[in-house]
Amino acid sequence: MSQSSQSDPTIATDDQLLARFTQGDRLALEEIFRRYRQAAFRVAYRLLGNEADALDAVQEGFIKALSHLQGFQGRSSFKTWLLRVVSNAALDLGRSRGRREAVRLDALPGALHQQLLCPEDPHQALHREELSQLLTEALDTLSPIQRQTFVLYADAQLSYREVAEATGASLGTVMSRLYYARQKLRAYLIQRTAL
Amino acid sequence: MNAFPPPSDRDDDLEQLAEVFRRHAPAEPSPAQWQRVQLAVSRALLRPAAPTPGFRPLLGMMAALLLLAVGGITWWTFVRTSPPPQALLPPEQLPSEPFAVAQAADITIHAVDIADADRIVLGRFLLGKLEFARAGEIEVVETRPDPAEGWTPTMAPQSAMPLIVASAQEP
Repeated sequence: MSQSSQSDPTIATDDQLLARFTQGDRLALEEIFRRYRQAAFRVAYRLLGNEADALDAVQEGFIKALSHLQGFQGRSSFKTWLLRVVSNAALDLGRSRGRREAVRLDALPGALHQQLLCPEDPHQALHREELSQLLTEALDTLSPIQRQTFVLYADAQLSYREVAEATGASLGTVMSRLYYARQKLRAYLIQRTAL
Repeated sequence: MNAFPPPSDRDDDLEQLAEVFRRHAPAEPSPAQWQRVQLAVSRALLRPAAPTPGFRPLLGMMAALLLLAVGGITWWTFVRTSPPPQALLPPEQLPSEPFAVAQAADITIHAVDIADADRIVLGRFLLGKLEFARAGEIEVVETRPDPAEGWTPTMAPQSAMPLIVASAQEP
């Protein structure tokens, strides 16, 4: 299991928190939630494209991961295990509700559209919100499994090996998926922003 | 495999792209939203505190004793109230009327539920032939509102003939 706080002995490790949680310690559960909620939310948001659904997936993911701890045999870190469950919950939710369509760039105001297509410095010219939207659109070009792989790597900052553990794929498959995901994302972003 | 970056290093190109995504991470939900999700997770995962293991054997013993006591009381009550077993008589020795029969004078009707009205014969004994009246042969003298039964007809109150009132068919 993960020892997320090995450097500071005053902070409980994941192992310690999980042991306390299994004995019904509410504070331990709150600490686990606080520690990983952000990573879980980012992954779920990237996979679902909206905040409400992402929070539902986070909630379901935490409940599933912590109520099936017997399935977590310590072969990976708790973070990897949790993100695996959360991302699967998000994919399931996406299948049942549909990944909500991101606003098309064509629908943006004309001036902003021009700014996106012909910017001098796209990273500075784009507002944060619009760029986030553009990234969401770029993710839409990936297949669900490519998206899950890329998001776990990029947003959750898992290593290749951890992504492999989280998705149940081989290392080579992860590398392949990331390679093609990168190609597609880059092609889309270049096309849209003329990088 | 040469087409993909080695697993030990994070590919620079891929890492650059990942960094763009990280820099533009979705906005954090509000504290109230986190609170709501955390509450839902806690409710789903944490049950009310169970008794400590030290008390469990004691509770088990108490439950077993209670069950034993209830079983004993039930058995004793059954044994005390049950009639002694009787030997079955051969058919020729059975009484002609196995049940006691009450005479009319033995019975006083204090009240009758309207639902049972069609099961009771009021008036004289039915000695002769039973005749059925048609709807047109019955005269409704009056109807009065009844708070419980609605409109209840009163039919031929002075008639000397016994009257059996059949309940209306259920809709």
